[in-house]
Amino acid sequence: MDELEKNGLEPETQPLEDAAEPAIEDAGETAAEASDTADAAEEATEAAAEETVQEAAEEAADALTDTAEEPETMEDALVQELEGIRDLLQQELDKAGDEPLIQELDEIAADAPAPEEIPEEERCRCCGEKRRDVSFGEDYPYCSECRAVMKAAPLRFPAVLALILTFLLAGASLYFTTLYIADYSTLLEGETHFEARELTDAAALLSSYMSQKQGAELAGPTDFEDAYSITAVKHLAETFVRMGYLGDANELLTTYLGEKALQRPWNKKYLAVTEDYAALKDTSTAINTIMQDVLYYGVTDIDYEERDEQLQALLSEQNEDGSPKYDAAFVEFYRYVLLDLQGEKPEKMLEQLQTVQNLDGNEHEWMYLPTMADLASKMGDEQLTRQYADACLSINTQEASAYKAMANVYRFRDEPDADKILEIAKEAQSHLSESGSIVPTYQELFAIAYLLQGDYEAAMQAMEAYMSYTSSNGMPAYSVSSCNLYALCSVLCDSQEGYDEMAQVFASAGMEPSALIQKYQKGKITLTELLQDDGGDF
Amino acid sequence: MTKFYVFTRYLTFPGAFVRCLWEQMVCRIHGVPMEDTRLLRRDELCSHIEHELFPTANGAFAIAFVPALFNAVLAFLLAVGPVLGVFVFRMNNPIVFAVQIVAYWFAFSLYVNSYPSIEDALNMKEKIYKEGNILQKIFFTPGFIGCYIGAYLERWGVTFLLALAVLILMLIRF
Repeated sequence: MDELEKNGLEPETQPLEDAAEPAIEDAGETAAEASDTADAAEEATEAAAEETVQEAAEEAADALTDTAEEPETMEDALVQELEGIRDLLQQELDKAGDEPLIQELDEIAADAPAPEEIPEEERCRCCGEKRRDVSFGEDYPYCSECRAVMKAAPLRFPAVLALILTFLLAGASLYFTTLYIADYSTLLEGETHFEARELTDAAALLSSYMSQKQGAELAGPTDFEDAYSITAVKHLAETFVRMGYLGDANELLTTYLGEKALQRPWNKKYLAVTEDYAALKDTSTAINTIMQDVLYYGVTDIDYEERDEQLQALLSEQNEDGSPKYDAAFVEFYRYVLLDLQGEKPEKMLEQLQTVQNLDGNEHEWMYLPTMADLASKMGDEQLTRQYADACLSINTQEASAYKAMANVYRFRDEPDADKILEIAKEAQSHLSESGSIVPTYQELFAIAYLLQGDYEAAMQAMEAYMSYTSSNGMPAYSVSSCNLYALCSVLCDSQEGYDEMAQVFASAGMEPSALIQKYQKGKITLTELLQDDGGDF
Repeated sequence: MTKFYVFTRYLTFPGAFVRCLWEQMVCRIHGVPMEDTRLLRRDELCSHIEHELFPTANGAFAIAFVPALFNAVLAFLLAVGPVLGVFVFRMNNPIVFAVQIVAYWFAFSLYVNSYPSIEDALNMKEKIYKEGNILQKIFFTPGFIGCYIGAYLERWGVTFLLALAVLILMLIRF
């Protein structure tokens, strides 16, 4: 009773249920402690044990209420009651110990050592808690759980996004490419011609392309129709410059590139073209004031010396900064034109053109090289002709006048060499493609060679091929020499119809077929003499 | 050198990201644990997934060759349009021009990031020529040569410089 009083209990008799409550609580704690011995760390175990103890305590209280015998004293009654509770709790704990869950938890608790028990060097490098999985090697740094997680590492969102963007861009890029596939095909062909120095074909193709684009622009740009190629513009401008069409080059560049773009460093050479054109235009305007009647109206009754002096006077004119006002080479070229109009000897004219060449510094070779080759051929200088002709062909392999000049060397010899002319004609044919952009002047060379060999039928066929040519706008490429050659072949092949046809063509232009044909028919000259006529009829 | 390498990876991050994705997919397919899946980092493994070495010749070849192949194919697809439309013919349309310029940057970055890491290249060599069978040695050799040389070129930033040189040449040429 004294201990009870110390613990704060009343010495009066109490109902057994009430008296049992503290004891049940104590017993519960005891039971909980007992379950903690199984696995203090595992909450599940604790909860299970507590529930079990609670139930056991309630049952014990009921049992005591029903079956308790009358104790002799209050103290005995309490002791008896507590012993009963203890026995019941022990029974319940024994029962609980037999259940699988508790057994399993006990086993895990028994087997798994606490983290602090794993040596540092044996722990997983990733989680730092579990033991390394040495089944993958003695030094394997990760536990099996971490390894499994690393094997299934999720894909990174930015990487997936980058891949999606890549596919979208590839699609868009290829879509735009397909829109221009026809343009690219045309432009590639033009590029190929340009690279191969087939300037005539390149110019024809790129001009056609630009005309289409210009047409699209005039019709009103829709979507991507106004997307012309700047490279095509540049290549066409370069082609025009090399061929001597400076005005066309200037127009292209100023129209499609524009003043602003021309000022950019990488467009320096195209800016130079427009500046060159402007300088030559000034010179040309000054020359026209002197030569207009001769150049445009065919006036020949002039004082050539006076005109020549006027041209020379242009050379001495200067700008405010002391630089020459006019292009000297251009002025000197027109002095050559005056010599040509006077009918000077080829040697003298060639000498004048060499002066032009020296002044020009090979900037405007188109102006004088073909003429120099022609003059050299008239002089009969095979080596010089070949030199100038090669220079022409190195710029444009489709420069027909170069082939003609080379053939003329063999044609105007005392003993014409038909085989050589045929050889040159074949060379010309291989370069002057039949794309429709070039007049097949090589057919004239074939005809002359066959005539010199006496094969009139073959000559007629060659000239028929020539005369059947029509340009892209449907116009034939008749010339005085070709019409005369066709008329001659018709006479030689007894084709009056062919001769009459040519006579009609001449008549429509107020002309007649060459009188040399009549002379040949009357036997006054030989065929070789006829073909060596230097009057330009053939 | 590492600083330059990392700098080039940051400049070409779209290609680096895509390459990492291919590497990660190959790792997942072959069940190889990935230790670090960061896309960009400041060391020599920048633009590569840090993973355990592949234990088989097929796997070692796949991790080196497949991302390189896929990046190269994509780079080619992306480069066709810009090279024709922008560099060769310079089509004068601002929308097309803009799209093609971005496409070219992607193509550039995909090419620059196409080759494997040196670790993968060395592992490929080890697995193919020491542990591989004769068929693997025959069929994997062309791919191995390309990847092996490319890995060193990429590590020294040469692939970036090469791509840059091509770009400059195209700008000058056209």
